[in-house]
Amino acid sequence: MTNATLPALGTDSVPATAIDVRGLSKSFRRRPVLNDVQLSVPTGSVLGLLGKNAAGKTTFLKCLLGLIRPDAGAAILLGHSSWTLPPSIKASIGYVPQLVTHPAWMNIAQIVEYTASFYPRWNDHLVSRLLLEWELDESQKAGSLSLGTQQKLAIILALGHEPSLLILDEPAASLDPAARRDFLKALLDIAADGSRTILFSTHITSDLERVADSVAILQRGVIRYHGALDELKDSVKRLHITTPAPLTLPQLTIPNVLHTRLAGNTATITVQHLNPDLIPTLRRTLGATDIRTEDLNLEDIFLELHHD
Amino acid sequence: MTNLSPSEVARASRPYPTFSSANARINARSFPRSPYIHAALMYARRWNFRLSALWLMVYFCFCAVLVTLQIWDQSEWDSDRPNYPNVFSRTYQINEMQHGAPHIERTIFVFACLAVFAGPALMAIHGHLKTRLTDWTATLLPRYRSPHLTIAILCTITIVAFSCTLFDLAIPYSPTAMLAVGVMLAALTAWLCALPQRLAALLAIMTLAIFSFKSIDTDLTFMLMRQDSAGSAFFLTFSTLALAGAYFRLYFIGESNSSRQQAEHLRLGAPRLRRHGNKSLESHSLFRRIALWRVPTSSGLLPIAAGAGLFLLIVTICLMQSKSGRNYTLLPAIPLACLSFFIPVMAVGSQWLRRLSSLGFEFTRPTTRGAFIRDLGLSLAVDWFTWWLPMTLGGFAGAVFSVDYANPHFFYNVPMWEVAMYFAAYSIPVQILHFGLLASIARFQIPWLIYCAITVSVLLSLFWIIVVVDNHLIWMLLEIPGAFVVGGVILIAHAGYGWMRVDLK
Repeated sequence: MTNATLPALGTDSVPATAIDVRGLSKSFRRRPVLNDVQLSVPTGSVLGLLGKNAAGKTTFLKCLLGLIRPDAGAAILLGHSSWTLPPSIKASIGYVPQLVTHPAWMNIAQIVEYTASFYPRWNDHLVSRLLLEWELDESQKAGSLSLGTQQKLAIILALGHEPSLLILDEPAASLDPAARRDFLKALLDIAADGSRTILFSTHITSDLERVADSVAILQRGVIRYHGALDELKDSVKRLHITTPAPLTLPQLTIPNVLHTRLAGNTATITVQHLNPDLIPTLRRTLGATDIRTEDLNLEDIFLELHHD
Repeated sequence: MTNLSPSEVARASRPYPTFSSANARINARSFPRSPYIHAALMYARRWNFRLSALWLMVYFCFCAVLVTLQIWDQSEWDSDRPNYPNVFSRTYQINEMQHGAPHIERTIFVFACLAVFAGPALMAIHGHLKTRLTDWTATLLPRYRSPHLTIAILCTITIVAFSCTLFDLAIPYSPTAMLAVGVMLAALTAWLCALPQRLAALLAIMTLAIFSFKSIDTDLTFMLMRQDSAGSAFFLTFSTLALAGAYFRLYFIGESNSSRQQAEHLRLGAPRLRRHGNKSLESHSLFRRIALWRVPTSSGLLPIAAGAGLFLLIVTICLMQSKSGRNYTLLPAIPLACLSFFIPVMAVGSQWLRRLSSLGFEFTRPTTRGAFIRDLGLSLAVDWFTWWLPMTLGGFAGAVFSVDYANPHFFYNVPMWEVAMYFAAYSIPVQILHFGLLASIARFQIPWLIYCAITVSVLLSLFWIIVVVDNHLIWMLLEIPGAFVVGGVILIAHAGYGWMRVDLK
């Protein structure tokens, strides 16, 4: 995969903000799925969209691509409204859906040929190399492909026309660990020149940690957090407080608490944007014998953010 | 530890042969002598063939009983009580069936017996043939398919000849007619296996059966089974061709769904576009764009084959009826020709239904929503037209030929173009209405709703056919087709409006 890099894009044709979403809302049969979503993704960044099942990730991505008409708000992709994207802009967007259906009678070579026919620019060399490296048999028919192979093929097809914006909807969900590693490496290669933007949704936090430089957490149709991945990790801490007497909830009035768990004399509190002065204050007011601060990985942060 | 004999020790200590071409040749010699024998031996090893063989033995016993009863009955009839037959005795009934029963009863008896006894064996053969020909090894090994096909054909001929001859001994009939039924049975089972969608094949066979036996009083078997009937010979030829067609399809196309024709379409369509290189999709001509969008749903030569099949069906029934002395050719010919009214909606609807789930993905290709909806709508229309035209031509030509053959004065003083105009005037409006209905309902992208739309279209067509034929409205009443056109156009406009706003999956 290391050799399968895309040629660098010219910087003059790419706007500074690849994706700009303002107040996007969408409901299905009066059930709100997206609610006033705001998101801005600068060109050249790799954004991971994290969310539980049914959080609205796929709906959000489909709104971005103009497949679904939002009830309110607007999504701007590469400087154009997503609902009326001109063909020239669409030619520079690559999309990998969660589940792609190719005509069962076509073999892989025919699918590649067919997809290439739609694009003014197609990198045959790159596609051939990816097919070889990902061990896809060009004579195999689409009807007999496994889910993972279909996903690999969809990813290759999305890269064939050298998109400047790549949108992937849970692309690694069906891949085996080796293929997932190759895929993530490919993503890093694509993003290496800093001119291409990648937005991918996932609920596999380890993938996101490996590739993304920023993260957006979608919770019940609302962007709960959007920012740099490292900042998120720095901002969320877990406090382990031990006191001589049993603790009660009213005693723990701490700002920006995400989750509190009490067990006798011990309290475990997850706090966002922890104020460093808070620890001496707690030690003094609660008479705590021990206060320990713990850094969290992304999976823990994700779980803490989703506590009700 | 058990003591081994010297020969066993020698055999056990023999090294495993390494994989080389020389060893391959040696091993090949230890296999059955020829691939034909190898293919034939497979039939002896499979449980379904063993069951079929047992079932045919039952058939043999059944025929033997019939023959015995016949001989016994003949001797009893001649010597004992020729003037006082006991109508309740089994021998009397068998005798009646063998000699005295009307043609229709005897032929249905023949048909049922052959279907019950020879049918399972033929089904087993053709099922096995399909498994062999579509096996992945068939694509790798040279000269793998021919032995299997040859053995299957030989087995089919044996079964057909055996069962027909045996039955002919029991109930004497025209050998040609008996063979025609046997070969038709073989053709039906072969097509049932060859077609990717069994349900479609079953529906086609059921439709044929209904039209043949009941709905339009054609009594196909009655016409078939008349002794020395030229129609039987014609039907035998037709069935043999159908059987050959099924084998051809199995041999060359295998299991894939019209893959050869569609791949050919792709070969013609996509590279031509690519050769123009570095051009956006919308800068291509409309013809080229539609050729490209149609690739996933084009049916290749299937509609033409279906149209030809419809023509042959109508002509065959017409010839059979005229030979049988009945002069009702108009009755089956026109309703059969009207099949072209609703076959396009069924064929195109089922093809596009499978595509609906990927429309969202297809829309991410470089095109605007307006152009996408327009091009896909036109592709649907072209798909529709490619089904409608051959079916209409086949149906119309068959109906005109049949009616003219049976009643040369029917079209007296009526120019043929006028007849064609009337036929088109009844068919095109129905198509516009069906198209509008399907396009309008499809925007909801809910499969069961689309099935409902197809069913409503078919029922509407059947109702329309009955109205036209039963009330002799063939030469008048253009107001209803006019209403169909208006309704269809409104639905198409509504579909276009809806598709521009709909959420794509």
